[in-house]
Amino acid sequence: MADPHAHGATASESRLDISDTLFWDMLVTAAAEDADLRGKAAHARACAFAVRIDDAQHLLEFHRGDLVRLEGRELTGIRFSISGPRGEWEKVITGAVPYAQAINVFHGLLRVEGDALCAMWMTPALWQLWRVSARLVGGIAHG
Amino acid sequence: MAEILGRYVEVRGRQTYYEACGEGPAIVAIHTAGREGRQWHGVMQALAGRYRVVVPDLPGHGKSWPLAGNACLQDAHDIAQWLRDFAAVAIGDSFIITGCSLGGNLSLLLAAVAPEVRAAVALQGCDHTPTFTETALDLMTHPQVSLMHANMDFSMSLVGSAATPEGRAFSEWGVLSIIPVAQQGDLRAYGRCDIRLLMDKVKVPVLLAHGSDDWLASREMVEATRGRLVNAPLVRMVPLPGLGHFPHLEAPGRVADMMLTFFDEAGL
Repeated sequence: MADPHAHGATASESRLDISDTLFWDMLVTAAAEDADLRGKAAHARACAFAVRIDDAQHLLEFHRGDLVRLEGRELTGIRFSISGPRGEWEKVITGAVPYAQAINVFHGLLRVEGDALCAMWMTPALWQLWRVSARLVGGIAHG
Repeated sequence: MAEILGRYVEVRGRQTYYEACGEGPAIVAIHTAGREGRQWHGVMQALAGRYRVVVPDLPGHGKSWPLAGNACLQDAHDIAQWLRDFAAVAIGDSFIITGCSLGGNLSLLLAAVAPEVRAAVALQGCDHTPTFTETALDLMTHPQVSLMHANMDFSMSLVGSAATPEGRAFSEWGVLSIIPVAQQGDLRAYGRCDIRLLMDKVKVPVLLAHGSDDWLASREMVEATRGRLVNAPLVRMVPLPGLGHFPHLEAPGRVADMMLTFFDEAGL
């Protein structure tokens, strides 16, 4: 697994660049090594989704337990997107706030749009993905 | 250890299960959304030397039969009226009301509208909780949603860092044994709950307690509620460091001690 600090991924020092594709490459690598995540995404079949951070977009796909980045691949459709400002995303990715709080209509600034049913199917996998990201950046994962 | 006895009474023609423990002035305790009365066992036993704590399972929850058509209540005012009907049958006298989360909101609502309520203890209770979208609520009973899986991380993120292992485990069991239509009805009532304009009608002592680890019913929401209790003769707000959305389950001894201190101050 790549060393996150090699890319300055330390949120507490404000050097984490979650818009950098390198971060998402590292997250995909870390996800592949997380047995819990693979188990929680095992039921997924070509579940593509977009992470939108301000104006930037990262395309990911859960498929049979694997998480892959879709940039450069032929798209067959994005099932849902999770969008919001960078500051809120950093809180989720570092584990500073729970995912449910960040997407809560009253408490959070992230919005899940698109196929709500698919997004719900992927909820356990997404929670686990943000635990993996928190470990990756050295944050403290919730839950 | 004080004995907890369960029995049935008929409320609006439906068999309703409740448990009671202790002797003394009556306290009615309300469980959180989608759960059932066992959440209160620890508090019941801790208060049993001075109070009779009565805990119903709301219709369709736990061992209580659902309403006609296998339905559950979905509106805070309807649940509050059902609780008044239940108390009339099970207690038949004035009582102290307590509850957590939705139960906390209902405690405040009952304190405002029910003259038989002597005081309210609202755990994580607020007068305005617009925290669930209609889409999220609709999906709870979708035939292709397993709520016990989809809801687990959300629910457990609400449990405080100082929760007892037993409290944490039973909170998890609450998700694993969820009844989707009951959870949906309760959270619909919670998400649509806006009783802000009734708070100046509360004229009994109120204790607001807030677990600091709860992000759903936030301290700001509880403080805003406190600010609207302008006519209550006594209002106390107690922070509960390290506890989350289910203080009575997470640390029943702490909650019972807090209640006893408040009851002494309020002359209850």
